[in-house]
Amino acid sequence: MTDRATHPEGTGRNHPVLWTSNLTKTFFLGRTIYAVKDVNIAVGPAEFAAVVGPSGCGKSTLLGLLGGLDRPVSGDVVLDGQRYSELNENGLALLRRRKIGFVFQFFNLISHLSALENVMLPMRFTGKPSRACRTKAEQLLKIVGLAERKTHLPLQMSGGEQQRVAIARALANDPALVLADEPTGNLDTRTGGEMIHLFERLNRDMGQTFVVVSHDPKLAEVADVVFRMKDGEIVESTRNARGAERRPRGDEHGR
Amino acid sequence: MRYLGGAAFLALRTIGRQWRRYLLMALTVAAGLAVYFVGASLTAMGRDELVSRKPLDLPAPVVARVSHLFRPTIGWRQTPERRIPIFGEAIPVTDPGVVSRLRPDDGTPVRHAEPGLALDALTATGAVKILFLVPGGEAMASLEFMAGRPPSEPLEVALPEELAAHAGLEVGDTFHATVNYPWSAKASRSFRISGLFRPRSFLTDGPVAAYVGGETTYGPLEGVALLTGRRDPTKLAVAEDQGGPDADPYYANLLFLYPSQGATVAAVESWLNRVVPPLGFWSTATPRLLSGRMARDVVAPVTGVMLLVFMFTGAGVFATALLSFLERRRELAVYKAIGLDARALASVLWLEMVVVWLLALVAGVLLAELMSGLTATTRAGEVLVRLAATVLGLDVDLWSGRPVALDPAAVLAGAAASAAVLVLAASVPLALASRANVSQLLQGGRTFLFHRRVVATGRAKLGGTLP
Repeated sequence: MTDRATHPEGTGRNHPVLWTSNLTKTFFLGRTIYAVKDVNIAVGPAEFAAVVGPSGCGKSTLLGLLGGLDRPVSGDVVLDGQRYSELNENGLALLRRRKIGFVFQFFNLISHLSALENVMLPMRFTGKPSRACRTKAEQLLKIVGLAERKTHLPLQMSGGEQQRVAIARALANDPALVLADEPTGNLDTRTGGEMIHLFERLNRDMGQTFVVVSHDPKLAEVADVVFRMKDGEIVESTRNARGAERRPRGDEHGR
Repeated sequence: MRYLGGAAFLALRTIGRQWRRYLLMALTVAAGLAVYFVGASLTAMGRDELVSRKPLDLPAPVVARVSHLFRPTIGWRQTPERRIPIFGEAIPVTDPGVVSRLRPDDGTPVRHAEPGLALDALTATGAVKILFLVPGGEAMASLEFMAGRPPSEPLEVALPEELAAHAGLEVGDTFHATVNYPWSAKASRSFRISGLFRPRSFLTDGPVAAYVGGETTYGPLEGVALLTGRRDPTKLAVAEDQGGPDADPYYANLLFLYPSQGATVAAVESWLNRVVPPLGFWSTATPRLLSGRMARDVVAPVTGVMLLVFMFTGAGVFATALLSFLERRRELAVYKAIGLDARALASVLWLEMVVVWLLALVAGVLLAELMSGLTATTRAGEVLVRLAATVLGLDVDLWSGRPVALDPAAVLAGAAASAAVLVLAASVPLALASRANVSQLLQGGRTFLFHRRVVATGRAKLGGTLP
């Protein structure tokens, strides 16, 4: 077991739960292209972070790196004191299972599982008893307002409902971090707005750290911190006063 | 083990909701297995046919011995309370020698099984002397009846005095004989002892035989000869002598009972007789479909066809698994994203395959039974089998009119081979999933087998997601 990594500028309760150091990802397309270049970000416990920027600026690549779905060519990601570079593929899978929840633009629910089973799925691989998984999944579906739709298959639900199920699934194992990639990108404006409020409410009530990649300007308004990306680099990092006021500081979730 | 609950949860729900796909896969495997089961059982019988000559000086291979246990069994049970213990490994008597003669009643030429060779074989097994009886024939005259009379009514039997003494049987007693073929209901008959005799021909100064007399209907029990050895004449084994399709009915399907030299089988049967008395007495017999020459001619081509079918089935299943991966690649990427590691993913896919395998195995056995039964009992089956023989270039008549008893060894081998194919089939999506670009798939992008994404300017070499 390796030592927990600490952020050089983090202190006490404000120590970041997620941070990166010179994170870089390149592709070779005849020449080297930097999809993510020397990214250094830090997100505190229970913070709501938004990553915004034009299409193709590397937001989703960054999210893939933060979620351990991709490997950087240099730099590192640290989540809850754990350096990704110290983990092999199975270690990263375990980290994703225990500490990360994903929400995708295209929902990515398992089409042949019901809403309830989709939410139960991540829990079933932690060794948790079936009954406990079911109870927890039912609670989460109730929180996202889908208690009545638990037996429905994804195809029997609207886009907004599918995204709610995906959010409930992301929260199934009480992750330290929830990563959302364009969660409103495939929804109409009204449903997208509802989704943003849901994220905000969950972040406030459940205390998870949220990192959301989005084009939606409304999301930037409710976030505690906004990272603006351009050509793979973080060009601006803004603390959002409204986001900070929204929730009393220090309400760490105690992980 | 930690993943078992989750893997079972996922695999069973996946199969339940997409049962058509998995049923199709199972039936594909089952069809291949059925052909293999029948073919392998047929060739196993052929091989046994060759092997069957060896027990006279060499022990039969273990597989052949074990397979005999599952072949048609003939059990004898004395009613109501006395029993004749029967044990022994049946050594099939083949090529008994076919001779032609004129039928005594109407003078038509018939061919019939000549018991002489069978007697030689049986004698070599320990039955020192054997009497073979023809109802109303000269052989009957060689008997000196010590009690009762020769059998004249259906289901009457005359026993040698010596055997009766050992078995504790008397005139008027009834005993029960059961012939149990796997493909049909148990055929059982009660026989009444009409008389006890002492043989007086050159054949019969020792162990003896009995004949089930009268106008019994032709069937497996129409002619029964009991043969005993001097060492322990109450212990009997069973074999079947088949005279061929146009043999004299008197000789066809004669059942010889003779002492066994198969110690292992004898021990098992003896144990069964002791431990499971309600089941009656156990013994074994192996029906022959093929002569030794036929066996040699048939084994090779049938094996070839069987392997071809199996290869095509395997390739089909493999292709299905590959297509299945292409359809499911995003699903597998989701599993990876939510934290299923390689072992958990493997558990899910392999469990799916185990279910398919079990389904295929059961369906394969049923299909094989059906196939074997239909080809043996229908005109269409007969035409089909003879056509197959022609196509295979065989100059033997493959059609026997009797279903092939599935060989347990063939079933085991088929099960192992199909398991191997399915493990390989599950390994394809596993290997490909491990190399697939998860984040790209989850963003709704197209990916190719080895996660190279084709873009306008070239290929992404690092396997990462394009911005």
